[in-house]
Amino acid sequence: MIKIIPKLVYSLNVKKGYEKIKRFDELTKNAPEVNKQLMLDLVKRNASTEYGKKYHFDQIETLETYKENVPFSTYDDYAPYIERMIEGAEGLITNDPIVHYALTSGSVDNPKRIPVSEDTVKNYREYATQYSFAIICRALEKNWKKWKKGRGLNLMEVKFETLPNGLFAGSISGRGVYSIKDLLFLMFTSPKEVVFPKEIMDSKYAHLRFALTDRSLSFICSAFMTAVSDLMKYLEINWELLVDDIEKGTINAEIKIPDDVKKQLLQQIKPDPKRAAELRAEFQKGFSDPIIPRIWPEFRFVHAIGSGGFSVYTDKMRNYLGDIPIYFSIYAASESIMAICNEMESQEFVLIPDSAFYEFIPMDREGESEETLTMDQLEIGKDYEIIITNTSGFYRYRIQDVVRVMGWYQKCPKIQFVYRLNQMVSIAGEKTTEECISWAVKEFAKEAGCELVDYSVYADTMISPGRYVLLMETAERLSKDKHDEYREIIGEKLSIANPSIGKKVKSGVLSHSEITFVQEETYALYRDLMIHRGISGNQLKPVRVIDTLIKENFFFALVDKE
Amino acid sequence: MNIEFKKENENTVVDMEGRLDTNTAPDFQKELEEYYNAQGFSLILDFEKLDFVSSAGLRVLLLIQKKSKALSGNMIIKNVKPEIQEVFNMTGFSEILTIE
Repeated sequence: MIKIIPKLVYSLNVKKGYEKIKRFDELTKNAPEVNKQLMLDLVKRNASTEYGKKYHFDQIETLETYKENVPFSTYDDYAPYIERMIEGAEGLITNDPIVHYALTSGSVDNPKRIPVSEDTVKNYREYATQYSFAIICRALEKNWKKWKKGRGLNLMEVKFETLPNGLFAGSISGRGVYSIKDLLFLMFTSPKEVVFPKEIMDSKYAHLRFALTDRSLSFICSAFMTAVSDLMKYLEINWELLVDDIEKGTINAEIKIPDDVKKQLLQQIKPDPKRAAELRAEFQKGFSDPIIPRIWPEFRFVHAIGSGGFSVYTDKMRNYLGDIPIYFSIYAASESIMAICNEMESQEFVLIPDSAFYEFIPMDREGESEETLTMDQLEIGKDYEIIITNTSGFYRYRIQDVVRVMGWYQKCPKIQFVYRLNQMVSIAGEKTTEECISWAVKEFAKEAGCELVDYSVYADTMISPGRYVLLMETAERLSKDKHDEYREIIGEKLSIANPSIGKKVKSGVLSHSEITFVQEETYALYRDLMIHRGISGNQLKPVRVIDTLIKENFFFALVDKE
Repeated sequence: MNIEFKKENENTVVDMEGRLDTNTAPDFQKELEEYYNAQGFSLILDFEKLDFVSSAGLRVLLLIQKKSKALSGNMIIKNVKPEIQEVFNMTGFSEILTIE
């Protein structure tokens, strides 16, 4: 019975997903027009809002008048409206009912609260679950092993706070999970006490404790690959404890779970010596051969954002997965779901034409012109800043992302996220992106023969001229004696990744780049600390640029000086 | 790292000597488990002879701090050397831990 229920639920989702694929294929045939019409509909619907009146939405009938009337915006432009909305005011930036406020991971001290309409939630639900499951199902049947539609392990937790207007604030991925809350426990292994935690607990243990008992586990989904990789690392270290508990039907006393929650969880647990023996036998063979297919024979895929800056974690996951494929999910932000993978293992994302209206500023444009392009005007291989008008009341919003056009799906661009504008490092105008840093660091690891755990870049302007400092954590400590050699390698790789750095170092505009290694477990400690401070694990992104004093102090205090 | 336990009233005092780092943190955590898993525990970590705390050591301290919240327990760190205090200050741990 237990196997039939998830199969039915997923089959229904996949069926809806196939319909969504059909609809998406129709929309993308005509994507530029669909997208423009979405903008005109949004403007019309919201003409009577305060924002609409301020920018004369009622006079907007074309793209040109939209661009003339409505300026670019940032979060700060909406913050005063949002403050009032949280107190209960309506009709300020949108007439569509707001159902949630997405807390962004952007700032620890003052997270942004992004309004989310029912339409936006619907887009997330239909694309990130139904559409994506249908794509996965189709791909698995064609090129991999068929998905038997057993339960999955969902790592997206729901931690909400209640606002004065009675709505919830929390991560957008959490809201997505909340929107299928009634189906959740038919689809996933973790009980509600774990998915909706009221207090901080050892959630990695809790997720694994239930997932490991299910031999038919068929996938893991998470907002970001970081969480999946961390979970597997935890399993590698703590499998004995987990297996002992599975054998005895217990939860080890050292696991931090509030007493009342532990009591409820224990009611759902029975001793399972047979499964424990099976798991123990596999774990005792070690983790050098992919462990996931050995402990979960029906496991078919991982569903998580894992491209770009997350690729270090994706690479680690391959060791656990073997040939099992990854679905790279979506390109999205708290403000909107913007693009989706339409193939398994592809790291290119098709813009979703009915989710937001998109404008683009070419990154190679000289001067300060703010003239934008629409999707039909984009060129393959070029980078663009993406500007969105979403379905929750943000208009011509500079989300600060730069995307690269990789190709076309029908009349819709396929894109890749390249970097965030506010995460670009530029000491003397050389504009180094996350992508450059990522390439240079990976090439360094290859040449130095080390396994990379994580890395960040710091623009050191305390010395003159300024320089790049690459901070890295490696799995094994590297020899101090070779520091000069490593420094040369990273300098060379950075200069290849961004030739402007090389030229500027040669001409003395920049000092030679430096490399510094942090102590083991430094990045894991940073994530622990963020979670301790209340940041949801769903929202934790890798620290690629050390751009605040807090990060600077933290990472430089933990440099390996020995 | 050497660890010695002694009882002072209701408190368990842990004298620590040497380095709390990647090599020693797992054993340190194991040895302290029975104390920080007890409801209402009261631990005093005496750092007088402790020379170094690494990221791995900080992770264990953070874990015990979390436990103290969950189990209405208490962890006090005392006699911290200036170089370790500097690490606590820079990493934000001085705001999280109770240091005397």
